[in-house]
Amino acid sequence: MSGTAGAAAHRAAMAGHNRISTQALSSVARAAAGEALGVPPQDVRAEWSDDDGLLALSLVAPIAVPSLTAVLREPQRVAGVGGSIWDRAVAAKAQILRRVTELSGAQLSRVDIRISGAAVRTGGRVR
Amino acid sequence: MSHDTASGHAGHDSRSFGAGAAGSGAAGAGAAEASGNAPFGAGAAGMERILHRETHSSRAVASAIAAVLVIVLCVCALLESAVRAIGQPPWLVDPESAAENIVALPGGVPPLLLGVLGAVVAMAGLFFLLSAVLPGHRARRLLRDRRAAVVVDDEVIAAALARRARLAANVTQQQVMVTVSRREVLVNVRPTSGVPLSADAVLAAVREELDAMAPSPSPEVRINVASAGVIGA
Repeated sequence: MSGTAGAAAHRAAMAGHNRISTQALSSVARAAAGEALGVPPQDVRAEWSDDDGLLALSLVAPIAVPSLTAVLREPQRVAGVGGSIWDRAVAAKAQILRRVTELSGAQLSRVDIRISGAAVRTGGRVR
Repeated sequence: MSHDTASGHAGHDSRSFGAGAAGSGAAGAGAAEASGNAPFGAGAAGMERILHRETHSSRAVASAIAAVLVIVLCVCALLESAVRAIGQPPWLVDPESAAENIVALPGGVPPLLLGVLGAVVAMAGLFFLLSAVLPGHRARRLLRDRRAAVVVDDEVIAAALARRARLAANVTQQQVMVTVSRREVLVNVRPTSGVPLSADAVLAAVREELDAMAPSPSPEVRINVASAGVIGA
């Protein structure tokens, strides 16, 4: 409508619109959660909801644990993988929030994690 | 959508537009351009008259109906008086018994019929009264131009502002809705979840666009940012 040069300059600076689809956000969240919990991303279910204009993420995922026989053999194994499942889930929340925010650029307000199972990991030491 | 009840006749209150139509080039397409309608030699006064006609709704139909009603009544009265003056039997009803009937009105008529008649007469009266008293603005504005008279529908202004607001807020077309009424432009924006948007920036952009258009009369701009966002938009 307006033929002024100022408006035209604005338009050039702001041409186009970028959007990140829910699907892409979910994939990012699943990858981040898989990384934080030590499980493959396809085992993670991620759902987004709106929290007063910010994103709220709720995850349902199993968590990788060392086998009980291994823990019995060397009890410091638990501390080696990052403590109890509860502690690791709490730590994973902050890690996932930071990672998804950094990758997607969207601001997350909260991450809810529900641990749906334990994936027993045999083999070498974790980290 | 009719928060401007004083704006005139039915259907002309306010127009709203999502940004959706803005992308499809609606901005300007609906602009009714009245240039060249002025007869030669009409001058500024003729132009003013044309602009007034374009921005106000016509009362021709209502006044014609009123005139016909008055004419019919007068002709009846004339006939009856003439018939009585020359001592002939009345044509429909003679004036005296008509007046008596009106004075004794609640009696002898079924209440339902009376109520319906009253309602019809009241509605007709309201119609005539409102079309006479209300200003009769149409949802159109003038864009001042030195060479041509430009009349723009409010929908077009809403579409242009919605497009500008959408660009400033960096959201999709579905997240912006602009309502233009007589005195006010209301910009409704739903932000994208996780991407906070600055209402002031959008407001400034919309104001700037409106100032560049300079429609007359110029409306106030208000913005309303929804608290809940849209996920993945």
